[in-house]
Amino acid sequence: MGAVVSNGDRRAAASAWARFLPFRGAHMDRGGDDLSRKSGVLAAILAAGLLAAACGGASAPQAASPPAKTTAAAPATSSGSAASASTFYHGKTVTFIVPAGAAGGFEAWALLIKPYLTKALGASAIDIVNYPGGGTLVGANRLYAAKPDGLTIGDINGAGDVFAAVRHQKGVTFDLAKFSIIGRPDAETHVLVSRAGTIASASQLIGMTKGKPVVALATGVGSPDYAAQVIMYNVFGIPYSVVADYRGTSTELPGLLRGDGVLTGAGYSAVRSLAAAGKVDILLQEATQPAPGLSSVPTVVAVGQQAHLSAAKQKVLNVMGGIMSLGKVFAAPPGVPAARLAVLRKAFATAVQDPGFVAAAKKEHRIVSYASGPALQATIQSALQSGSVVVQYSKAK
Amino acid sequence: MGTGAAFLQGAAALAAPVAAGLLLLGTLAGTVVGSIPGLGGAILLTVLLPFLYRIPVGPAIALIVAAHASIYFSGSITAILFNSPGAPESAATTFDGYAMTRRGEAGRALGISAVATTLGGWLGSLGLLALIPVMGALVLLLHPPEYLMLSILAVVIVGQLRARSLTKGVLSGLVGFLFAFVGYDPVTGIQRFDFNLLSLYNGFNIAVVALGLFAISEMVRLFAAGSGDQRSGEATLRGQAAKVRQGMEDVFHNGWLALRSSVVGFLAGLVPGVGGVVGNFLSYSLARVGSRRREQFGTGIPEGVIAPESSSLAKEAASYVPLLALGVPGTVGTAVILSALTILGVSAGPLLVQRHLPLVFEIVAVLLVTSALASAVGLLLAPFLARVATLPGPVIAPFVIAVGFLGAWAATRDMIQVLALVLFAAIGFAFMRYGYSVAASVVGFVLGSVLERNLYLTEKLFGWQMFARPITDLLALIVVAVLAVPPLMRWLRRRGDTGAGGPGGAAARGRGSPERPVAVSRGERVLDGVWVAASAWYVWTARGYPSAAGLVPTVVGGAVLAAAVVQFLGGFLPRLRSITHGTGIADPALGPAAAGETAGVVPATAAATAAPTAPATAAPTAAPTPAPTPAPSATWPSAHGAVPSARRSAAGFLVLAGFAATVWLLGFLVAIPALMLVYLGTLERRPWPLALGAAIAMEAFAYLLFVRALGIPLPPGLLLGG
Repeated sequence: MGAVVSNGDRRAAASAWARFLPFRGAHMDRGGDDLSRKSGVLAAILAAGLLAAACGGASAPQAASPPAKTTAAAPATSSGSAASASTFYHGKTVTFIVPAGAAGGFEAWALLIKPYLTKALGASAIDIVNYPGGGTLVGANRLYAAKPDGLTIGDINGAGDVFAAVRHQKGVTFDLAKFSIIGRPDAETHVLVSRAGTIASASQLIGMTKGKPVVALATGVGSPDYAAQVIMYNVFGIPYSVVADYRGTSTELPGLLRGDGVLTGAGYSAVRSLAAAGKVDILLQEATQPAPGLSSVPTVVAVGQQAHLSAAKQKVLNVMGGIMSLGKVFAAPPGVPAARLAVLRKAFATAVQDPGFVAAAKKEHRIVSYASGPALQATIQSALQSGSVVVQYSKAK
Repeated sequence: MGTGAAFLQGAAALAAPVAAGLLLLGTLAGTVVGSIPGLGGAILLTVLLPFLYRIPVGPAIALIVAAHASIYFSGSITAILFNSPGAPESAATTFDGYAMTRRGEAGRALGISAVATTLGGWLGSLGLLALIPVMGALVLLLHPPEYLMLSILAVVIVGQLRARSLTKGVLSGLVGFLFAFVGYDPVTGIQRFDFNLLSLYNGFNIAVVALGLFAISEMVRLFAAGSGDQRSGEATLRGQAAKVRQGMEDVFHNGWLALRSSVVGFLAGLVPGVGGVVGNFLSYSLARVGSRRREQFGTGIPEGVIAPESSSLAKEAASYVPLLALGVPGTVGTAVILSALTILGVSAGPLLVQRHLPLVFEIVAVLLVTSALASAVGLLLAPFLARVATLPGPVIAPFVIAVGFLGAWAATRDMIQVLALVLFAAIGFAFMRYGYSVAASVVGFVLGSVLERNLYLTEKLFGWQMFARPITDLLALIVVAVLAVPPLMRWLRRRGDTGAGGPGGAAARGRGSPERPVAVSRGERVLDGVWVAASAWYVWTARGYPSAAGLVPTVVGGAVLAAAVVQFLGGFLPRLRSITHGTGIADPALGPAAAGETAGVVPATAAATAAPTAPATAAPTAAPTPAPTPAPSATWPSAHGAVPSARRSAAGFLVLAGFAATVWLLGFLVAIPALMLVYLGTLERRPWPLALGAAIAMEAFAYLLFVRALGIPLPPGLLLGG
């Protein structure tokens, strides 16, 4: 990982902008008595707008709480003891970087956990900021470059970032091993799906080692779904051609349904409804362990055993399945004071075990699968180390 | 459950007091926030998402769908009053809406907009209802070659709609494509044209591009034009109310046009990713082609507002089709609605219609109710809003600039993107000054990725077989026709004139006299040179990228370079100028003012189609149309008011740059009051109490709306933030 950004200016500037501004004295416009008639109209309209907006936001947690006043406090003095760290977040606003656009899995998890994490930290608010782009690399780069005071956290893409790292993908300016890992809430299973009426099962797929290449679809060479598909087809020796020119699932799935190709990989939640309606078939889970409620679909590891692959190839599938199961990695920039990281990890654990959180996740059909910060950090380390075995299979033909 | 029962259940969900209250709240929030450029759409809706956790499904749908549907009318309000579309897709409303405001008919335009939006929303909702059984198949009808052609067609049509010449129209659209290729290429993982700035990894933000090109540039022009740009109009509320009523009646007098435009918008909206952007433009352009007053489009005529506004909500209703049918959102708004449905525990997609039919009906019902409610709220405010438009232009400028910068921050949370507003304002200013189409640039920007992705997909999946597809061929043919027919018609006309002589005025159209080359100013020659240099640099840079990432930028950049060279040569070769710098047709039909102007009188397509074939009929056809302004020109200077002096323009940009630098260094909450005080107090020499009042009001606005209500922290600035 040679391309770690150590540009101090950029980091300082980015974090300065990302933080909350202590408000310096509230100016209330009392109607503009001394304004001229015309600008009085303007002021009245603005006031009307404000009133409506204030009403709309009155019940917002962040609106009801006082604005953070002390974010600019020097962290050095308070980072030493655990006692001061436990109260560090009280009344402060935490910035949460979502490495994808509005709407979508990464924001969904952030939104889901926001009230419970806010409560567990004692923070005044969590401010969710979207930094989409580069798959999810832009947000990860941003988080990596943020000020390590513990007030900026985010949920980065475990699988995508590990693949990006082991494949030395361009655009990576972070060192995944150095993030301060907080924990993981989820286990979104990625699945390989086919258009209904083409390939019915994994058994049929692995028998297709001869004949015309199957056409697979993916959302860009940087996406984990692309990497996982290429690895699988290479390992199973299935002739394929991959069309990786879709911008996202919202263009890729219609492409699959209208016949651009026959296979694609996606998060289970994105295809659940289509599968239930019989429009796509779920062939296998790109995981080492079957997801709860999805036991009828074999994992890629099981399919590898069924196909009597060599031990080396089965290991590749194992490592790939492990990487694909990493989930949303909640993390802070490298160098967050240990005491504060401990507070973040504890609050995170409290939040994901909150009955309210569990119920809300269940309603959204999201699978909660908590992993602690240290455990997840170890998993990521080993994925980064063993990840090299997948590299030789991750080149598209 | 029977369909009828499901419908009743869906409609009944709205009758509950909580649902009705939230529908009203959503409408109000959408109306307020939608009127702030950059904030509409995704931002408001994502701010609402956290509340959905605590609300049952029925009322929650009422809240979020109402907020979504009410954004569009208030986005049109700012398009009409300040040339600042709430969302890029509302830009077509600025063409005639803002021109009406400049003529003092803001109230009328708002009245038109309110009623037309409502009618479009109703028709769109009913269309959605009708399509529920066949939704899935419709979405899959179009394939990559069609998307490719649609994105080219959209850019070509919008370019020719407003630009002063063929090449200017083409360049306007293509430059939008070029800006769209900035940043990370999702397919290859390569960063392009990003100058190693983290802020540009994801390219320029659409809110920044649209705000800079439309709103901020127009504010600089208002400042530069100074008091010479005094707006006229009824200053009394009663007068404005009468105008609003007049506007509402305008729609009913043009009922057929409204109906047609709604249908066009709806059909366009069914095409995910493309239709939402181009629907309104398409309605506008078809309305113009089909109108007998087509040469007056762009000068502020009611038809020019009715067409895009009727399409505005119809296309949004249509964008629910891919969402409900397949669970794939076609627009940013529906992407957030998808999140909302997920939060509520409802999976969008085929199962939604099978298992939650009442919910689908509820969505339709909310769209129906909100279409009218948002307009009613807007209409109540319209007379007041219209009075804002009677303020002198230079006084409005600092308010819009401040709100625009705040909106850009909210949309991006990135200071480099906010500063890029100045760049796009400069481009927009130059474009307006020299008769380019900023709307085409914005459409090109939005569709750039659609073009690129579908070009690769077409190449991989179809190759030349793409031309074996009839819809593709038809679309390609239309592209060629839009570009080639106007010059061809002109050429034929010229041949006819020189050959046959003809009766009446034909003598006056003898060799050499009808089309005299327009003069080209020094500034324009400089701009033409910049085109060549910038596009050459772009192509050179793009060639350095690996082929999959560099091919499309190279091809499009090459097209820009070719057009730019022609454009540049046009500055020196008068024979080329009819396609490069517009025509100065000495046509009596277009009025003496137009004939004398250096500017092209109407956009190229209109020039050809509108020009009478027989000169003898020219005067009669033109006579019945009452010309509200002396020159029916769609482009600056005449439709856009006085030409600002170079000195004041430079001063305007200096103020803008100073404001941007202050925001960057000292933060919004210092920069905004400073702008108000310096601008109103010192530059405009308004009374100090007024400047102070404005400073306090805007400070309160920025703090209360952004920081408190929306929860968007404002950056403290590089110096104060440490």
